[in-house]
Amino acid sequence: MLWKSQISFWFGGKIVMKNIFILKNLLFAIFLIGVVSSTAFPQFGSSGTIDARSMGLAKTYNSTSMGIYSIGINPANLSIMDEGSVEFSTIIPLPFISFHSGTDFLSMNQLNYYFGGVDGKARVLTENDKQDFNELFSDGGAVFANFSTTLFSFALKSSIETGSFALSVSDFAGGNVTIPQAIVDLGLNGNQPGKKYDFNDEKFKSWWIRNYGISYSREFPMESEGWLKNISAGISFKLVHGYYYAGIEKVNTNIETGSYNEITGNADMIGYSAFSDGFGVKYDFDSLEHESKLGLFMPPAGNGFGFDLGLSFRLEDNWNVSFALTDIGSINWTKNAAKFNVESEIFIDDLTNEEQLDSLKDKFTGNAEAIGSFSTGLPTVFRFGLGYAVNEEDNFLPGTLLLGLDYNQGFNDLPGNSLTPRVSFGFEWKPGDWIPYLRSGISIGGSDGFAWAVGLGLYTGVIEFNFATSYFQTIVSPNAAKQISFAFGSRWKF
Amino acid sequence: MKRLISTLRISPLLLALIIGCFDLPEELILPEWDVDLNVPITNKTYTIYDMFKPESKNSLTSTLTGDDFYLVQSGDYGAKSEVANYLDMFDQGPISQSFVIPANTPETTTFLVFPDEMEIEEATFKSGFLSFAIQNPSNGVILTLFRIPGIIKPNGTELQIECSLPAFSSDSIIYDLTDHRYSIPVNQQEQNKNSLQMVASANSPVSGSFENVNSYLFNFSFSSLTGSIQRTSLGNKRISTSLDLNDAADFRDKFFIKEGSLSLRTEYISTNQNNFGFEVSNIQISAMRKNGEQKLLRRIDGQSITFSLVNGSYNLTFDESNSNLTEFISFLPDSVVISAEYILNPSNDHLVRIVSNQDSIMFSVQLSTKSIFAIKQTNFTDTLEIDLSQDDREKIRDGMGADLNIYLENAIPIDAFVKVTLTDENYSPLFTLTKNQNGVDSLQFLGSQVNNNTGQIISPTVTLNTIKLDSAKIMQLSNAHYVIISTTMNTKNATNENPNPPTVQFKSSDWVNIKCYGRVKYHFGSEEK
Repeated sequence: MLWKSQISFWFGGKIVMKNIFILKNLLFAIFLIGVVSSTAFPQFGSSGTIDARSMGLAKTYNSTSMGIYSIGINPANLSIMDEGSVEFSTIIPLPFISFHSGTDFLSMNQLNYYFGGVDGKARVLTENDKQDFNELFSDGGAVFANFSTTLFSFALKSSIETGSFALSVSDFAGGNVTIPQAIVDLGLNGNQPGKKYDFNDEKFKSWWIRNYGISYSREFPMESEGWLKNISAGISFKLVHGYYYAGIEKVNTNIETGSYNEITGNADMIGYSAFSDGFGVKYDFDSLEHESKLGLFMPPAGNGFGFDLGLSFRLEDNWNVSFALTDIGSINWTKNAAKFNVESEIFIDDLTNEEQLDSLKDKFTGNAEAIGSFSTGLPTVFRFGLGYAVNEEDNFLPGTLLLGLDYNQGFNDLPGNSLTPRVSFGFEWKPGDWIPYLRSGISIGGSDGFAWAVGLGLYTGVIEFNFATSYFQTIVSPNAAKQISFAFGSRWKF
Repeated sequence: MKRLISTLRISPLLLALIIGCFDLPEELILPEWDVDLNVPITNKTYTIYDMFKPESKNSLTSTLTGDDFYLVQSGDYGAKSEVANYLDMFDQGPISQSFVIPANTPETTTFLVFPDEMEIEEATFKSGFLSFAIQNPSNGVILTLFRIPGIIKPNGTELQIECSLPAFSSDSIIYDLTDHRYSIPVNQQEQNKNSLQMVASANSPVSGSFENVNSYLFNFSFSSLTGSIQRTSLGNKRISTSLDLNDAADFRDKFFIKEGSLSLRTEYISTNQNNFGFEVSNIQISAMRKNGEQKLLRRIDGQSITFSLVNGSYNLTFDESNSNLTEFISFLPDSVVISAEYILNPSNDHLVRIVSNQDSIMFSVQLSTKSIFAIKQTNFTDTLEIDLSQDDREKIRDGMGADLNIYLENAIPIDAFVKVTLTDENYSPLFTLTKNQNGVDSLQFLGSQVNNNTGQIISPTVTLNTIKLDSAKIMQLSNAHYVIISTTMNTKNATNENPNPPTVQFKSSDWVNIKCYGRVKYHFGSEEK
């Protein structure tokens, strides 16, 4: 496998990698991790991938998750286990894969139309086609891909008095890119004199991090006969290893074509990257080649600490109200850390002037320099959830029914997280003993937009299997969908 | 366990079902489309100075870019003549004097007369020899002493030469005077100031003995001299300088300069104040062409160009008011030859002055034109090779059409008509770039507005030519191997029908700004065609 890749930033639409192979390699690595080693259920950020059960509830998990499912969401819910019970997840019998990818602008139908060709030949776009394609990006041209997994997780609740303990090793890799509409407009319609093309909406962030977490939760049953029956509190400490990070922190770039077609503008961009030695990345400014040694346990490029806090209140016997603040902390990236910086004026009035062209190239590739370190946050989120378990005797439906309502607010736009609040509603219904759990829900906001989730849970005694998609539109109308999501996994429970 | 097995069987089926629902394209094919790119092709400003940079400030220069245009720039030509060359004039032959020295008598004094009535008070020999040929016809040995009181040896003593000559014998003495000084003896009489004094005495045991002596002074020159010299012609000197015209010769007979000047400056450079005068006489400045044609710079009054150096320097300026200078410059010669006769002490005043071999005569010619001229309609044709790789040619074929604007803001008073024809590798024409108005082939670029009386520029003129290229022409462009550029240019109103075209004035800061920009319709798509 070739892992020797040169890295440099682009902005103005080309986004990140000078050598596209690095992105391919990273995606391949992420895929490898997901397929080979994953088993369970982390959650990163307000909109990231999640275990199959929660995904079936449209990521309505704050008050409905329990046991090892609550790790990374609300450590207080770790207490929702039977006394003396043990839960863990492994790759056996069904490895967990949680995947969510897509765009906010291009459906499968549109992909087919524009990129499927006509009788095996490229489609020649008409002016209307160009206009329609351009308008697809009017509300943003976001592309994202998230993978998550847990290499190992274990939870134990010996008694109410001693509380619940959990250990977990979980990975998350993902990234998001926003293609500026100006790039698409330029590419389709060319540069029109007098029109200003602004690339400030360009975004890019991608990383692969691993959390080594230890969690503790304790429930405090209320002895009084009031409506508050139980309070649970939990906390998780995390050692965070980062294997790579690449992101643009600031873009303030624009160009304009003048009356003599002279191109003026401003180039202003700052980006950072760091890579584990295992990637063998070679920067432009590197004089030495680096050998790649890709693996699951490569030396980290960054280290950090984080913690989660959670509280849950059980009201009466049916209600559960949860609050959590997760991923409070930061990562300090030190290995192969580089800064990409551009800050200059753009002026081109003579394409035959090699100095101008060379200067323009320098301005768009940026000046890469090695730096000692830089830091990023963690995908910090405030979570609130409300759950209601419908008793069998009160249920107008056969079996049991669990309802949930969530509010998740991210505090940054790191991969998996979103500054846009996300509200979701989900339910889990088990009509009868022999019928699997049926789950569904809707989610609005976050980085996903509107999503309709469905899921299925099969419990076979000590093992349970879950299957879900958080974007059921893909199943109902696959060719109109813009995203694809699926997750499955298993949990041992004793 | 059955549930487990069933579940494991269902999982991939579910995944396959989901994926199977997608109508995935068999192959992702990038679409193709046409896009209009508004590109700034070039934006350049040239001054006349940029176009015709002088190669050297110290020469008469025709400064050309190597191509189509000629402009005579100001320049200097300098020549330095060492006066020492002229002081060598005395080396034209020996001067001699014969005399008899009787033995055992008082001293005999005799004189060697300097040539050309030269009177020397002081001098330093750069070279020279004093020689004595002595014959003793007597029957006894003679001991002789020659004393030259005016010549001081380098050690500061008077020059004295002794010799002993046996009976009935002869001998000769040659003495090198290099670096010896001469100073006229204080007791030398006025009438002998033009001579070298020699004093001789002889002794012999035989009474009545005598010697016959021939004395010579030859091959002598001075490094400095104080005295008087008569008017002396130093002969003709000829200086030639070449002009590298290149293709400027094409402008011959189509080029008129209205104003210009040629300054001659001659300067006598010396550390001494009391110098001899020089006359630079009958100066002839000739413009020469390689084919033998020549044109002489003449004064309008017909007088020869002669001047004397008084008080060290002399300046003489020629212009169109006192000479045929404009005609001379417009001749566009391949070389300029300057010849003159140099005359020392032209006043012939017999005054005592000083001359030294450290003195020099600096002779310079400065040719200045105010670049006021007219160029009649002149055609140039040049063929350039289009060096494009096959890959470049393929990319050009992706062009679907183009509207190119050539914006020219001209502050140089020259109109130009350009016809550009592209040809294939066999020089077969493919198409000619034309502007889209009136079907006229040539692209027209107008010169700046000028004052017809003074020729001065009033304001720049903007000309915009638009060239339309359709896809067929762009295809032809991709096959072009040569471009033939035919240019017709003239200064304002200097047409062939106008025998006395108005002249225009150029300054080196006059400029022309060329912007080429346009909209190119480009086809983005698959590499495969």
